[in-house]
Amino acid sequence: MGLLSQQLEQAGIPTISLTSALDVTQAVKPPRAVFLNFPLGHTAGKPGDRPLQLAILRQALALGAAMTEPGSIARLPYEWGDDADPRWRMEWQVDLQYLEASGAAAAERVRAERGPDRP
Amino acid sequence: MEPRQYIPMTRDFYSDFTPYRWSENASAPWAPLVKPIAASRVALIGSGGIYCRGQEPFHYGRDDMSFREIPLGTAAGDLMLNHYAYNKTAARADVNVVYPLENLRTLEQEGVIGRLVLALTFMGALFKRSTAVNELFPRMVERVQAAQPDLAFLVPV
Repeated sequence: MGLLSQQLEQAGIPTISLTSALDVTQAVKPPRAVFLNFPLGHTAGKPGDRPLQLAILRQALALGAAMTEPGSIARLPYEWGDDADPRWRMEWQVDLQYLEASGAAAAERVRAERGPDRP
Repeated sequence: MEPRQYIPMTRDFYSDFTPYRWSENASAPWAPLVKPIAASRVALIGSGGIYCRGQEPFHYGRDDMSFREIPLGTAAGDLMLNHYAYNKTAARADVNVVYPLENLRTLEQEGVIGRLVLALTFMGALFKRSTAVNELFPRMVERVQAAQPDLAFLVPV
C-alpha cells in the first residue's frame, strides 16, 4: 500500500494512510501516515466498537490533514490494553491454511498454539 | 507499549524461507491538500482482500493483481473478504476494522468529510513488486484520478 500511496501522490492525489505496522511504515515512507498501535488485522479499530472506530477515523483525518512534511507519521493515543493478548503474536496473525499449503516450518507451531478447531 | 517490529518478526517466523524484501524509500512525494477535509471528495482504498457479494473473490494465494470497485452504498454485511496473509477473525466479525466504508459514510453524513466518491480494494502482501508497481497500481491510480478526489484515505492490513 505504501508503494500505491507514492504513486497516487506523484499523480497529484494527496493521501493519508492508517497503519498498524510502524517499522514497515517507516521503511516505505508513505507521504502522510497515522499509526495505531493495535495488532495486525485491526487497522481501523476493534470489532463492534463503533465509537472507537469513528474516533480513530476522525483523528486520523485531522492529524493527516495537519501534516506539512512528506513522510510524517503521527501516533494515535489509543492502546490495545493487553500486552499479553495472543493476537500480538505472529502465531495468531498468520493464516494457518496458507501456512500449511506453503509448507512453512512454522505451520506446526501455529497448529500447536491454536488447537485443532481454531481459525 | 512499544510498537512491534514486524520486519524482524516476519523474517524470524519464516526463517526457512527466502526473506520477504520489504520496500524501502528514502523520501516521499507530496501532493498538497487543497481543501479542508470537511469539503473534500474522498476515495477509500483498502488492501485487505475485500470484495462485494456477487463480485469475483480475490484468489487465495499470492499475487492476485486485480482490484475491485465497491459500490459506495454497499452494506457492511455484503462485504466479503479473502486473503492469505492475515488473521481474518476480527474483519469477519466487523469489516469496518479493515475497511471502514460504512464508517466513512457516517462521517460523510456528519459533515466530517465532504463526500465519499470512490471505494477500491485489492489484496496486499504482493510478492511480485514490479508487476504491482508497473501494472496493478497504475491501473488503480487511473481509476482514482477519474473520480477526482481531493484525498485518498488508505487502510492497509
